[in-house]
Amino acid sequence: MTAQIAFAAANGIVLGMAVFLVAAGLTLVFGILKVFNFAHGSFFMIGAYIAHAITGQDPSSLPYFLFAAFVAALAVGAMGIATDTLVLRRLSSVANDYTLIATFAILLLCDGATKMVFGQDIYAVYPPAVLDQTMDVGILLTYYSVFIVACGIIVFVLLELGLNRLWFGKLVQTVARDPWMAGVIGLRVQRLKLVSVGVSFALAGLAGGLLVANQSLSLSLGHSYLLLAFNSVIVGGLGSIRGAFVAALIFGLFESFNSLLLPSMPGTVSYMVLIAVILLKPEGLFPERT
Amino acid sequence: MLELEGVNAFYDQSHILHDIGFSMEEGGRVAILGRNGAGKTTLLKSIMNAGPRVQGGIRFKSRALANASPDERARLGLAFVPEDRRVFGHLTSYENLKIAQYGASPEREKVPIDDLIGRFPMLVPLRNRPGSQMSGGQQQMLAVARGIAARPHIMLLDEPTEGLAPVIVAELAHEVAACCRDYGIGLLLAEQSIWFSRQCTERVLVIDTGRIVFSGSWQDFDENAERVQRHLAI
Ligand SMILES: Nc1ncnc2c1ncn2[C@@H]1O[C@H](COP(=O)(O)OP(=O)(O)OP(=O)(O)O)[C@@H](O)[C@H]1O
Ligand SMILES: [Mg+2]
Repeated sequence: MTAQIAFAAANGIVLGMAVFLVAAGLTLVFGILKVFNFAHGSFFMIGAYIAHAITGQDPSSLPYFLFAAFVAALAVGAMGIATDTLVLRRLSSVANDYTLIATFAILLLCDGATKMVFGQDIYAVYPPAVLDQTMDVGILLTYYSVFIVACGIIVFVLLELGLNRLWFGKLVQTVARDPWMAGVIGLRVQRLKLVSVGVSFALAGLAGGLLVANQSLSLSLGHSYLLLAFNSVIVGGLGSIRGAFVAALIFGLFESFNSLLLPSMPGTVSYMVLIAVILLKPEGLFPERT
Repeated sequence: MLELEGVNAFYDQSHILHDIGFSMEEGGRVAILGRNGAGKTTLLKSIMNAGPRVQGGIRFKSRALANASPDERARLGLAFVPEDRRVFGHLTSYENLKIAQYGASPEREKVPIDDLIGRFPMLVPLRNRPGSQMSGGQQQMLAVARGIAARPHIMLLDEPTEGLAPVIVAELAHEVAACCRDYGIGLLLAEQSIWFSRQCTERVLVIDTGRIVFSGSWQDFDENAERVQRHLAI
């Protein structure tokens, strides 16, 4: 039983970090544009397809796998810049329902385009050979899952440091929190937003490239992590990286123990957590202070 | 330096400013007086293009501003200190001043930030405190310092005395006047306090329901006290 619990905990942490990788870009876009991007999962999926197109089906070397994820990040980041220029920046002064419809339209567009470019086949993708082994630390862990946890932590630390320590991060936060005053003191608000939206989308592409292995790559990949990522962004506090990190871990663990203890009712606990937080602390765990 | 001609400003359908015209010399210091709702804030925001819809000609440094965005105007050398302060809560005092310099016009030599903080004794112990952890009066002081930090050609200062203790108001008047002189900053000041305005400026405009009803030196102002007071009394 202890082994089962340890295993569920380890799985929960891995799932949590995977969810965080997807949630990071989503919460960042919200923080900057105040737009909840329903198409985020599709960009994540596009990242996975691009990485897969580079590495191919068979296990690759770790550097090549990382290179592919990096290219996916760049490509999706560029798509983010196009999306902001064409659509998102125009949504800043319209009612929320338009935003919802517009980002949903982007989702449909992305899914359709992916189908046209990459087809409807389902691929099984393997992690790089060095990560495709297990280690025994009382429970069996794959190197790949440890790699995902490491990626999640690295992305988290880099974002926290980047936003709170770097001058550029402070500029981005200033523009995100008070765009009117940021403009009045002379910051190039539009341009700073564009760059940060590019970075946020790049994170989605990166997540796609890193998480593509060990699961079947298909057009529904976008949906698999997306719901948990949405929940994490809401529970963590819209726009908060730290909140998304903590909430993703919580959801990962609850999901994992849910399937251990209540295998016939998958996902119920997560939604109970979501509902409880919305009722008790609707602003989320780490609401943005102004 | 700054010329307005036939400026009209609107919020949606409401016509707030009517045919405003005046000009300021380089380094000139002008007060705008008027009762609540007269249109002082609207006038400053119109010059900055930071809110109302504006028609008419605004020229700055012999260049028509037309549709230039607020950030372009800031980089040309206008700094607006809004009446609601808008200090950046996640940044320290020092960073609030630094970010204003970062955004501002590149052509003028920068004011050393620590010298500037030294001019406002209230800010000295707050140098590394985030804006969100300051009192209203402290934020007000920082907002004014942030306007000066940009070393603008003209600072548009909206009701800086609001919420400050009387002794502090006196100190602020002294510092604002001194900074404008020392750093070559022109001042367009919207104020309720006639005393404060007199300390900081040499000319005065009175507006009433969106129209300029008086324009002249403080001496003219005193000579026409009776006529002017009608537009200021409630
Ligand atoms: N955002 C807005 N939308 C519509 N009307 C506005 C808006 N802001 C101000 N007004 C109106 O414009 C007029 C001028 O307001 P303004 O803020 O310029 O006055 P003010 O002279 O600065 O007054 P105060 O001394 O109270 O600050 C007022 O009648 C006000 O009701
Ligand atoms: Mg006002």
